[in-house]
Amino acid sequence: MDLQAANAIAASGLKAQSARMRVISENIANADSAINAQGTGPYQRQMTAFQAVVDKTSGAVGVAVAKVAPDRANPFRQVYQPGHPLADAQGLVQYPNVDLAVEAADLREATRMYEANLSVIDTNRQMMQRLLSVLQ
Amino acid sequence: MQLQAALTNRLNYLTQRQNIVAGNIANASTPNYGARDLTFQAHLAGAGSGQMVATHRQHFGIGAGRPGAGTISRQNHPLRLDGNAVRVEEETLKMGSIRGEFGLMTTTYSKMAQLYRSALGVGGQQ
Repeated sequence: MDLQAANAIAASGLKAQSARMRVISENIANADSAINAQGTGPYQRQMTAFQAVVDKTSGAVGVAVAKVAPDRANPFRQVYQPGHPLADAQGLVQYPNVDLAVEAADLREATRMYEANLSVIDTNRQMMQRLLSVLQ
Repeated sequence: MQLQAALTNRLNYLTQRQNIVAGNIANASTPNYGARDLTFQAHLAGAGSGQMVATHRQHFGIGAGRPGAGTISRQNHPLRLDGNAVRVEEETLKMGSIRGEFGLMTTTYSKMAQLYRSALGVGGQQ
């Protein structure tokens, strides 16, 4: 257990939060994608799940992305667009279940967490500097 | 030399606690994660016996099934629906106090070294 381990933990946090930001940006970019990558239907909002990971050698608790899974709870948006090429018999087009306000809030939280992990690294650096100053 | 041992012990404790705080902040978005902490007492108990001790039933094993080094899970009531009980503000404050105390300990350590140098007459400050 040393300060390097604390840096590794903070780095795992940075990695996890940036993975989360990637998923959020995918959601925002695909907010109006009526067809997903597989061509099977509208794009489904993706959600990131985190998991605590214990480092066997140091016993420190880091974090990792457990999985990225689609949000199946929220229904697709239905928009009445009769002339649309993807409209069904009733003239409705299915759009992704992405809510931009939710994504914006999620993105803000991810940014805050990223900054918190950065401040851990900064504190570790200051502590290491103090430790090195003992040798002077 | 007792002073040196005491300072080293405290520095070890602060480093270990910093690791735990870093883990808490890294897991600030992990569902069902309870914030962990380490008291000096628990650290000393772990260091004294040379073995890690489990002081709580939620302790997880590391290595060969050993529980975490005297780590205690705080019984914070989770504020969020996902069961996460980490409060980032609290952890940041804790980190600040660890840094401050670490500085204090290192300063004391170098002062002590100066004292020895002075006693030995090798360029110590008078």
